[in-house]
Amino acid sequence: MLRYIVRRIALLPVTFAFLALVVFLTLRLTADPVSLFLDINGTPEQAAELRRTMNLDRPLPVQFALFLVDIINGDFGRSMVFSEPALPLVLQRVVPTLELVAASMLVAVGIGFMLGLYCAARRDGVADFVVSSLAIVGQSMPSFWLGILLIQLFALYLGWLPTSGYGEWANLVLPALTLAAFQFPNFVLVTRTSILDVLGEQFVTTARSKGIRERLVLFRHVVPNAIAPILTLLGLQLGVLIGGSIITETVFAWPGVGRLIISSIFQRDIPVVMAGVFVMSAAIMLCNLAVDVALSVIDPRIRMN
Amino acid sequence: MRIRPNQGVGLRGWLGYVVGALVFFAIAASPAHAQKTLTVGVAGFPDSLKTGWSSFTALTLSIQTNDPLVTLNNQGQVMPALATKWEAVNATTWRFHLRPGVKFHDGHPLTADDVKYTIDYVLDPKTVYGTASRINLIAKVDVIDPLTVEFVTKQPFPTLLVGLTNIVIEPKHYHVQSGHDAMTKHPIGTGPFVFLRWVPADRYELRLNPEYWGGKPKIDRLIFRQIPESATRISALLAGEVQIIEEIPTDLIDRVRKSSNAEVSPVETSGSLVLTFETRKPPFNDPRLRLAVDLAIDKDLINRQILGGVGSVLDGQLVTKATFGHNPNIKARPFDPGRAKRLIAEAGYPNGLTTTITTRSGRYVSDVEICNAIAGMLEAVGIKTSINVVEGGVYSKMATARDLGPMHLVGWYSLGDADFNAVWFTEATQRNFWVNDEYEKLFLAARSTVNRDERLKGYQRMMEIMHAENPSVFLFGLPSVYGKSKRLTGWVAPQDRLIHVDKAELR
Repeated sequence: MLRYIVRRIALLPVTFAFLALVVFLTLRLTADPVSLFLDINGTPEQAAELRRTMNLDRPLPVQFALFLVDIINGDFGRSMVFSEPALPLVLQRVVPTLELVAASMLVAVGIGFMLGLYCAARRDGVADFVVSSLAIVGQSMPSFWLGILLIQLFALYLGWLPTSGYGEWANLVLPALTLAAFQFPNFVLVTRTSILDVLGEQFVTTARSKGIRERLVLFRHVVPNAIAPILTLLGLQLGVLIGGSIITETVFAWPGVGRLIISSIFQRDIPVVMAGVFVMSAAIMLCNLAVDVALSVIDPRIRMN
Repeated sequence: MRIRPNQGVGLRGWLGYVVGALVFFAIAASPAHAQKTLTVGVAGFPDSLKTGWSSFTALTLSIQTNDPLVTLNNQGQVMPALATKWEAVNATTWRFHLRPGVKFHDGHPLTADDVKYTIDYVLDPKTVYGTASRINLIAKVDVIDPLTVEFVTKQPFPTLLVGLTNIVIEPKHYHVQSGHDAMTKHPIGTGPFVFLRWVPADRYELRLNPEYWGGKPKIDRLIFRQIPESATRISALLAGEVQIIEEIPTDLIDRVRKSSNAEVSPVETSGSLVLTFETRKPPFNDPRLRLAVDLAIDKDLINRQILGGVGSVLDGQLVTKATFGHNPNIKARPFDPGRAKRLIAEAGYPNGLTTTITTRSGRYVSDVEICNAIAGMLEAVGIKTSINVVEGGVYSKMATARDLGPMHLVGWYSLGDADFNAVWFTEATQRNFWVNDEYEKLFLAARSTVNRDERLKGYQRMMEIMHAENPSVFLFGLPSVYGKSKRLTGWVAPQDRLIHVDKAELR
């Protein structure tokens, strides 16, 4: 297992270097950061000064090499827009995103697992049909639309929660629910399928034939064996959410990293975009690594391979 | 792994927990606002509090803590701020008299040294001050005495005063002692509000400055919140979380109009939205075709249907009615698709032609919708038009390369003086397509005198030339639609898009 983890970690730098190249080229080839940053009638002296400080006057390969060296030293450069080092800026904005993602995952996994379990246990019942249909509806509903509806209902009509913003627990509820609504159907469906798969196994029949109560069969024998696909999904979805919560962040004025990266892309603030992409990629890779490790703990068969 | 059997909690039980949690959050969330807090919801924050970032919102944040020398009132006239009066000593020298007794938030008195330091700092290319170009004809600043300062300009600089309304004065001692970044982290100024807290992309909090030279503000705490999504911004206004919002999209105006606790406050800005032609290449090097496009667009209809009637159709000229340089003798041409068709045939396209309009999305009110409407109207007279929507960075690259396609939609702000947007049609900017010698001469002449009558005559003639030659179709005076709480008094939607709230009051 250790060797497996070490091998996974050893591959990270290669992935990062490739990532750096792609982002770097995309940004440089689509627009000139100087013309974006300066007022439209900025003077040529200002432009020259900016070009020099950003190394934009050097050939592209040199720029990229300089850039890689800096990254290895943990220096993504100073944001042109913020006049501050890029990495701390990004890390500061990652915190609200992680809070949002964690809260919504808790809700999504909690509700999704419970409903999935319920549906599997009452397979083909009315509840199963209703929940499965709801899950599909929930997943098809665009999150900006759901977010606006939730604001209408809970903030404007009922007045229970603030419409948007960041800082207090109450601010977290609506965005977390919005994000969870999109995620929980995945967990319902995967849980349901996975539980049903296990329910068909012979050891379940054996357990039942020993006269164990159905509830006990479900929780002691079925659930532990059905949990691997759910964990895998959790790892994948965490990655999706860390980068994909931008719409929810925008609707709820949540100061997360997704919005930072999008606005930095529009302004060609290359240091911040790079730092942002790296931090998010790192988060996603670490999540996947953590899930793989967890899986190998749960399932001895993975450990053996 | 051991999982305990969960006795007796079915689906209904779980739902109970969820509802319970929601009720708990609802109770925890009941608002407890202080009495005199004014919260403003803006669409986009600048990325930092660095001064000189060229956006209206950035300047709005800066003017809470720092004052300019002069400011504009809502009729676009220059009014005293930190300077109480000013006079032209000669054609290239302006003398400003500073308001006595003004103190920075840390107690330091404001002197002519701060003014000189600020202007030098702004004009230093190393600073990369976005709006420096507004005052870039200043050659030097001389301190005469602690309350008198002279600006020497490289040539007569008629727009100096208007330009100075966008430059806030910063404390020299603070820059010198704590470095330039200190001003960004914790701004200190002479303004009506004192910095408290800046949370990027979330909020900017200030408290009142009881010693403000313009009178003690009537609100204790001022909060700016960034709410990028317009539907959320409106909900926040209707829910009473914020008392002023900016940038209401025209299709959502009715939601605010129907509410009992908020109202819409539209204002015409100094921005002009125009459809500019690539006049150096066929087909629009032919003035008949440019005229045909102008005649084929029903501007009143677009204003009514897309802009919700809050914009205004430009008077067949670049500048808005309120701008210095407006020519009252020119009117927009009436919508005349029949004549447009004849002109197109005359120009050698009896079977019509195919062209494109380049635009950004969300840069101006309903920009893409306006382009689509125009395309439909052009199609009706035989000009098959497709819309090329490009992202800001790409647009900027195309603009720098002077390659924006046959037509592009663009807005130019005059800040109340024709110089600021007329300049974009001169060769010196390298952003123009159309070239006209008389226009160039008139522009330079108007820029090199401080005689208002001569300048006005020059701009009015320039408007005539443009009206005759149609380098662009002059579409709309850009509206800016604000929403405000009915509890709020002493505040009107600002035509210069800078939100001053030092006279605002909450009932």
